[in-house]
Amino acid sequence: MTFGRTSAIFYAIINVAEAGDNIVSGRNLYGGTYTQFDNILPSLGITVTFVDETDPENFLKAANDKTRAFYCETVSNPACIVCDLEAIAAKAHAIGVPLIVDATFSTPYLTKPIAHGADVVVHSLTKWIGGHGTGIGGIVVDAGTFKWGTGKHPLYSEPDGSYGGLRWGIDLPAELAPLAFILRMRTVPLRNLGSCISPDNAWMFLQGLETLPLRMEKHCSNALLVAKYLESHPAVEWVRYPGLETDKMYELQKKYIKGKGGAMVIFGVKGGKEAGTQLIEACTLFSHVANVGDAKSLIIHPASTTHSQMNAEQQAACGVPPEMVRLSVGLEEIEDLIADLEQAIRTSQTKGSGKVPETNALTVQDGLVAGQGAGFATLALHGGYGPDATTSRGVPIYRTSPYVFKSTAHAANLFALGELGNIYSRLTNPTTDVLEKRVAMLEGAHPLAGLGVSSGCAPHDCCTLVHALRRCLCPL
Amino acid sequence: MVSGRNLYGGTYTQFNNILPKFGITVTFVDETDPENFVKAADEKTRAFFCETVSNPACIVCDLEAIATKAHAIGVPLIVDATFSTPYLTKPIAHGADVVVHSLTKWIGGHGTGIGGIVVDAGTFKWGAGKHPLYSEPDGSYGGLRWGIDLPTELAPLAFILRMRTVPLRNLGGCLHPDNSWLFLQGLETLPLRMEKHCSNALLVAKYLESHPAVEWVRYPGLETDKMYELQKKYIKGKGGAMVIFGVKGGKEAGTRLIEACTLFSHVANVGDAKSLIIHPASTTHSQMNAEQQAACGVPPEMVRLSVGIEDPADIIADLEFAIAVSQQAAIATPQQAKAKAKGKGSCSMM
Repeated sequence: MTFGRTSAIFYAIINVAEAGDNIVSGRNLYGGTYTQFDNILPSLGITVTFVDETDPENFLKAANDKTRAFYCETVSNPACIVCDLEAIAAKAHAIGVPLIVDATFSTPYLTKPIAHGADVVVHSLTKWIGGHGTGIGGIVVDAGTFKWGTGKHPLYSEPDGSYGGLRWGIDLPAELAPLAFILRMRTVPLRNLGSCISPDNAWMFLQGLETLPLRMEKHCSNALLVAKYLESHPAVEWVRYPGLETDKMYELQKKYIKGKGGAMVIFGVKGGKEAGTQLIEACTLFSHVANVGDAKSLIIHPASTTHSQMNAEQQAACGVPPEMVRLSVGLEEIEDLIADLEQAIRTSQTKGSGKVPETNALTVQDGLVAGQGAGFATLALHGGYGPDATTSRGVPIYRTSPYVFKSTAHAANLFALGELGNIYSRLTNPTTDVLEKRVAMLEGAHPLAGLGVSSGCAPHDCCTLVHALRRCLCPL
Repeated sequence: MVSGRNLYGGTYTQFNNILPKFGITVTFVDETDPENFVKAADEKTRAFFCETVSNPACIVCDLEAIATKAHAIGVPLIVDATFSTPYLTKPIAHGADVVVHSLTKWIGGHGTGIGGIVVDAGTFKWGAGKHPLYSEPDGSYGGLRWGIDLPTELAPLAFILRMRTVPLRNLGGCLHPDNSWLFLQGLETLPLRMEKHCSNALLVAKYLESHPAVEWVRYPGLETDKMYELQKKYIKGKGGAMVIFGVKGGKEAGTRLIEACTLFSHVANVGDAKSLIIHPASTTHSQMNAEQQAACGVPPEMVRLSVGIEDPADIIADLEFAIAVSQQAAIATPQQAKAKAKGKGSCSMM
């Protein structure tokens, strides 16, 4: 496990290659991966050749005797290219190199790259595995099947001076030999470069994994409905979604992601980039953030953000036209998602409105989406919280006992119940406040009608004590 | 207070032993006939109390009927909706005035944090004179009469406002923000989890119902269950996540069964994404005598399952094996049962 996917990828690469070596990679990549491959690795002497991965033969054509690995994404970000893993793996193995696969956009639930011939799998745990947009982390998984000692990888066949001359691909005992790659990764790059994952994040990802199957099913079923809605909308110029029968990836995704389509939808509206921008800013349920794989729906304009470090030509190669809007479809009620898109598309098509909303205000705090009552699943995801002054999409944890008074008059007024505000976390706490509002809204009560207490027994204490006529005279 | 008698063990102990020490008496009635609440009430009764789906007997309360009885004599209905969650039941819509939850259970969803919550329906008229705590001046707040003197905008929430500023503030059982945050993550998947909990529980109940070594099964989602009609009205007909049963060989066999499980975790909890099992009569309800246990619907041989969201085939395979072990009287120790479990190839998941 590593601090993040980008470090997972970096460690995977430097665990097979050194200065003078090269990697052959698909060109449809997450923007951060592309920058790492195109700018950072070359400055360390490792070159990456980008090929069109839709023809696996292209990997072979670009390889030479210094090639140490092939690399691709199961489903690419954001163009949703589905790689033919078996074909690419076969090409890689034919010349004695491993295939490294970034399976973030599929997760182990939809795709098991190892079963299709991948030798190394990497994930951004930050995304669907974590599932709630709260922690950052990455992971590398070793298939345990690649033969590292053949001489094709000097890092594994030559003595490691930092480990008494150990040859990683040759000298490990039989029980450990299949895991030479991951053992070396932990003891060489991770140990010495330090991008370890925090145990708190590891723990959060474990919670996320418990619901991964349920969430992926819902992400995919929602995404398909969103894609179909957009496909039939007159103001939408084009839609890409692997789960649409008309999509170029439809057959491949049946084989590689269980035919579920995935959670990502990309599209362009009439009016190009300008209209796309207005659409994004008009959304009140989709959160405008740089992330994917949250239980909450997300939207962004890749050409000016996630892929902005590329020039127009590189963007085109990555499948990122200037007008593209990218959706990471969440678990909200589908009616609410479509209602939000409907009103946002309408706004985007109002020519010359020029009006930028004051805030990208998410309105579900009042229980409404596009003026209508939000459904249960939507309230469960959004009730009680909209990004605060820090613009954090996740709810912050306010680990504070007291709160600072603005003045002595303010302090006195708070204590006299002359105004409402935070004094002490036993009474009120902003994190608990979000929970109280969310549960109250889910119960159909007023948002201010909830009170959190320290355990399930405590509510009974509080309830029955408020009804007691007899005062308690002894201290508790 | 008048309370249904089918309660979580901790609630029962609080009502039966602790509250009376402060001069608050609780009368327990059979909640399956809402009229029993009224028969037990007098002019000092301040509230009725019940659980939407009781622990562990899975009694589904007729909330509307009980709420009507409560309101007819001017008292509120407090409902513990832990076993249903807001996803399956909205007690307020059925007339409840106050809803409480253990957030520790299905709302949290992963058995990691401890917390509770109270929700005020905002509809009860506290100033009617039936509740002196609300109609008489509060000396700790300058003589404020909670049910009478609040401004119009705040008046409907008199109960929850008083709860925060009087019991919570002065007795201190506040929720830790770390736990609040964990519960917020759990809420994000509550709908998905409850659907899976319920569909898995139904499969488990049907499996047990057809098993020759199982003497009886209770699950509200089974058509033959006495709660089937009520659960259609009050928990969307989904049945809930809890299954209780007894195997041939009584308490002894039940004990062997529990110890032979390798997927079900033997813990004192419910509402985890992971499946859980326990023997209530000797644990969660052990502070009651046999008579009180019977009143709570807890026979000595009962095994209680909190069915999780694992693959149902794995859940049933674990029960299959455990039931088989339970029926072998020759096994003397838990260690032998576990050794047998490992030998069977049942994955220990460790």
